[in-house]
Amino acid sequence: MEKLKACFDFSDLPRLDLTIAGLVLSALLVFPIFPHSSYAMSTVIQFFMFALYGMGWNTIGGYGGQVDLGLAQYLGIGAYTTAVSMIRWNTPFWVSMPIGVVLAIIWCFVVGYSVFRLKGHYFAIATIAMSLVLKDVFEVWKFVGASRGLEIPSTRFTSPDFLHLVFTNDTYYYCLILAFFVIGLLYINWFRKSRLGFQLRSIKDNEEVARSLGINVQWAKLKTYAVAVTFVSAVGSFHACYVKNIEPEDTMSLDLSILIALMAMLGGAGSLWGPIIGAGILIPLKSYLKEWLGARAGLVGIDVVIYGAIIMFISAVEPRGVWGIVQRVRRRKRA
Amino acid sequence: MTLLDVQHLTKSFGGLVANKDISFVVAQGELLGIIGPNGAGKTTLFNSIAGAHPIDSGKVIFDGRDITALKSHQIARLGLTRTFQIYAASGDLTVKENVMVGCFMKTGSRSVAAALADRILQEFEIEHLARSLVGELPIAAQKRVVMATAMGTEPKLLLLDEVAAGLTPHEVDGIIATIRFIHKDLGVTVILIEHVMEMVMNVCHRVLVLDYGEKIAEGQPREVVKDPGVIKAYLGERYAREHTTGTPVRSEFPKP
Repeated sequence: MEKLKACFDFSDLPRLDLTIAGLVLSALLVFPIFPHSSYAMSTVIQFFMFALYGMGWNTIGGYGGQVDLGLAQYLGIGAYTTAVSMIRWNTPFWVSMPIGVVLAIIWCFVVGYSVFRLKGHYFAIATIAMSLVLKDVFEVWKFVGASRGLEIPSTRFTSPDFLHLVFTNDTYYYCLILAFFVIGLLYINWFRKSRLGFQLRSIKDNEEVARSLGINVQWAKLKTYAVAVTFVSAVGSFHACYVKNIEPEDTMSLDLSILIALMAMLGGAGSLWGPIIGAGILIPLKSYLKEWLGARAGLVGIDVVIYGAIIMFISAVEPRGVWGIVQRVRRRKRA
Repeated sequence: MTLLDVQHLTKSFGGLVANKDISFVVAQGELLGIIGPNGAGKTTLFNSIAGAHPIDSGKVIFDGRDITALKSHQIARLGLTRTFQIYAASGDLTVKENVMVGCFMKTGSRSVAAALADRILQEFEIEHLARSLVGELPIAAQKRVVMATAMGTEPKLLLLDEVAAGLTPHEVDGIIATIRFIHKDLGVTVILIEHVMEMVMNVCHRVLVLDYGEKIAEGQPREVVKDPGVIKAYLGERYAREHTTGTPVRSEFPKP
């Protein structure tokens, strides 16, 4: 009960933050009612998905300071679990999603047990390596369609099918992912103030000191990794139902892992709003850049150039991203 | 009653023996000081006791339990907490949040941890700093936060590594008061590593002197400072002279 109350307790945040957050959330709530292009709709759905991936990354990468660059492998596990079980056994989404989460957590313990012994760049490289290995396995594994991937036969179900998440109208997907988003936000709001949240920030600060305060560093990291993976895998399952066509390249590639980490870092790693701000900037940028510029000859791949520029901006100007700049300005005003 | 029993502890790094066959006991309620020149193996001894690294040979018994093979977080949970000489605060956590990290060792509840942290901040007279970032505080305040955080774990034995280093004499007085408070009012047994002799002389019941990884003397502060071996290895002739004539010595380092 105390936990549930803590989820809704935003009292430590400035009123201005909450007002802006409330306005944005209400705007997003009424967005489907107003006329919009299907392109805008899919962009906003993408925004929610990436904001959730970013929130997951933010637990281990932001609060815990462990820069993971292989999170997409768990997205793949979730997406493939849902797709395979739906195609072969007509399993409802609400069953396959938790199974995917469990599989992802099991795999994250296998990965985490070894990679959490490494620090800094070595840790980041090891997570990349593990995710590339898993992706390569999926590219040759016939059972999951190898490199051609899988397609969910949506004609088998009649829309709207709330069990299998087959809808012809994107508004249903929109409402669902919005609900996920709100739940995810409330959970992170609890997490950041929980015992594990505090322990993680202490670990990020100094692992030796954390140990001296009775924190089992390895176990705290593994638990947090499981939280991160739960976010990514659950939304990965949604991704499978939403796009209906998955392949290793677009569910577990390195690009995707980097994009997830980059978003959280751009917005502000280790803050509640960071991943949401990051997704709010990068996702519209990414999809409209592709639409307007990407199709023209000579400008293909311009989005990758922009990512590179953002990485340079973050590392040179403000390692805490956009939110770090906001905080700095605020502190200067107070002083 | 014996709280800590260190038996023949030896730890070496490559060819360097940092702790050589060190044995001593600490009774419940005692306040033991460890002194010695730089590189004598004082911090290594803390690391060896607190489980930061495995030791080569010997035994550490804490509160009747063999903790030699335990990891540092397990030892902390048994009630042996140590602080660090260099506290690298990233400035990410506020003072209160820092203390709460310590409090979270004993409780999973945020409200319990917050209440306990508030009480500790009040006891340490730093409640006005609760919302400041640790990295932005002056050193004396940071040291106080370090001690407050350690007290959040409710230890039976507290190992303090140079909490008075780099402070002005006035600030040292404040730290001495804090240590007395921890020891007397909170009833915690304390071992401290210190270079500030004034503090050692005023606060400690008993002193252990290390040199080149070996224990060269042990006893009451007044006795130990007269020991010719200790004077030669650490204190220097001038300290001994000034001390015996009653001149106050406030220098952090023994002068040549």
